[in-house]
Amino acid sequence: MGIRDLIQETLFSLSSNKVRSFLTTLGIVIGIASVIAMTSLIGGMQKSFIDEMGLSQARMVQVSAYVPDRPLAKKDADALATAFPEYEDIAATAYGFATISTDKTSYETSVWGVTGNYFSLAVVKAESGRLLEEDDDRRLTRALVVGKGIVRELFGDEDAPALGTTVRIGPNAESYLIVGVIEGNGTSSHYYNAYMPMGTLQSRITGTESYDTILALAREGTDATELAVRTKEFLAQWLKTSEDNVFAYSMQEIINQMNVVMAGFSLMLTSIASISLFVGGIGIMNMMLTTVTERTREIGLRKSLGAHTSDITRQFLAESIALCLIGGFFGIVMGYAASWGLAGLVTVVQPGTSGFSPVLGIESVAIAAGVCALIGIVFGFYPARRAARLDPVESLRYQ
Amino acid sequence: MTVVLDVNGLHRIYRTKAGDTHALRGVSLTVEQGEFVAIMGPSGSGKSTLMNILGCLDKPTHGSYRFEGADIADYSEDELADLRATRIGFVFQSFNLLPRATVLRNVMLPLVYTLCPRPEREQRARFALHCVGLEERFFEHRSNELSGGQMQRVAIARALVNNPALILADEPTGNLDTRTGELVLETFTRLKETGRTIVLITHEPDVAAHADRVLSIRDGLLYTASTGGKAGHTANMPFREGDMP
Repeated sequence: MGIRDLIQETLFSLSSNKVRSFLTTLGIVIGIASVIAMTSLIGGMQKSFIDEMGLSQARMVQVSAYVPDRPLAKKDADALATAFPEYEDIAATAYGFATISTDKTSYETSVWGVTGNYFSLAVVKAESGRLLEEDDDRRLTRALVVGKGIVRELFGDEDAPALGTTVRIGPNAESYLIVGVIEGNGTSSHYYNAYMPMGTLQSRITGTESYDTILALAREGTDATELAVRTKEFLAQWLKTSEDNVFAYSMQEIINQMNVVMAGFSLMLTSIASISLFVGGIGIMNMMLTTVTERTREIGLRKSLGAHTSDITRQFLAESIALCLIGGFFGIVMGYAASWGLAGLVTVVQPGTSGFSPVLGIESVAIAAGVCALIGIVFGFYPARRAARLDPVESLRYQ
Repeated sequence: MTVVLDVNGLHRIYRTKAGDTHALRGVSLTVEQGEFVAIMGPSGSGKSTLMNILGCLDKPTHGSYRFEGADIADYSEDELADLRATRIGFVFQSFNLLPRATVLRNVMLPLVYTLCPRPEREQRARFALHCVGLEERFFEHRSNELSGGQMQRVAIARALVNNPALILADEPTGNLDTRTGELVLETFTRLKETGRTIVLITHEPDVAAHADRVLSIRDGLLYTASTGGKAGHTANMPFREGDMP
């Protein structure tokens, strides 16, 4: 029996029993649909997280230290730059609490001081105006860059024309010019932030020379996680303190941790879905056994017409594999559709978030198809074998 | 004449828990090419057992069976299947057509198990259907839409399609009324005239009378009933239905 005959026979007998074939595959459809929905949701979450962070962020190492009376400062950043040529660039941030006020309203918040290279390192984009530059840091300009949340608090609407407006900040209510608004809605980490040059913050708001966080960008190709470990060791020595007081995290490490959590989550859901697949497989086996009994005479006839035992085995195995694959196909389609529905639901439940698009990789589709074929083989094997071993004489006489 | 079947001292014993059943007790039979032989006997006489062995669906317990000169005792299960696929055509009492398949598909079914190339299959099926006199307008009908006589002619066409050395018919008129049965038997007679070898099994003397040679089987033994018989010779038969205890 050739492969084309096999396919033809299989489709013919499945289509002669459409309703039953459909009902039998439901277990497989549901099992595969839930795995696919979950896989594409998780894929989408990971992708949107990484997209939001920017590609270079994986190479970022965040450094901070808590030593009494010895805050981090520019000399520490310089020391790091000298000790680790693996860092491409080093920026720093510090913050202080201040009240930002306009003629009409005022808003108390933390104001960040950033070095001139901060925005390019952190891959922040301006929606309007410009971001702070090296020159601002050098000249200690009173320039202010704000997120849209700050704009909303000060001007009532996040899209209000804030650019070019003068606001007053600090104990002396000195005037600052808003030179830029940062893009991004409520999910953006810059939404409620206001930034001024590092030197300006230090001299006019905090009155200290200290940094809170040093951000170091590892060169492409270096292992940021390993570099973070060495940075921590170095800094503890440099500050003459224990490593417990020094922190150096690479973003890669955080991504890895998220991946571990996601993997655990998908493992759990996969095991739940596999119960559905197992039940579905038993359904397939049940239907195949019924089919074999119903078609006993046909099996006897086929044998009398010259079918080998292997032809009969293959015919019934092909039917059960085809059933599972058809179920798998609908499961993949339905699961992918459901993942879009669920992703849409996230935006409804949590307004203001940008939402994300589910991502279904070709390898997930291939694995799902492979699992379906495997279920077809495992649960179709016994019925097919039973069909093949029927005695032609007995089965022709079967009523 | 070429010998198609050569059976010698055939025994078939069914071993069951309730004891052995000796269904065939030494049957010998030779059928030559182009012969139309009827084997007649009541139920329980061993005729179905003989039919199964002649059709290579079953193997004898003792005795030899040579099909076209080859001893099938040495054949594996798959080799027997190949023999059935290419050299033997079966016609059953209950037709055994695939009900939802079209007439053409039913007739082409045996060719799936042969090396017959796909484009040739339909051609051969159409030819076989013409041989049994089924009209072309029925070819695309589903087989369960046909009358009993038409179904049996489709089944005969299916038996013919692989150009077999032997056509084995088991009570082919058993499910048909007398007139339709007569038409089916005429089909066999016509096939015989074109040189086909036919072995027909029946319990009805009227049916057996269409054959050139009638053998009767009783209690697992084969007797010659008459040769060259037509209707009317039945009186020479050793028994009639109802004579049996």
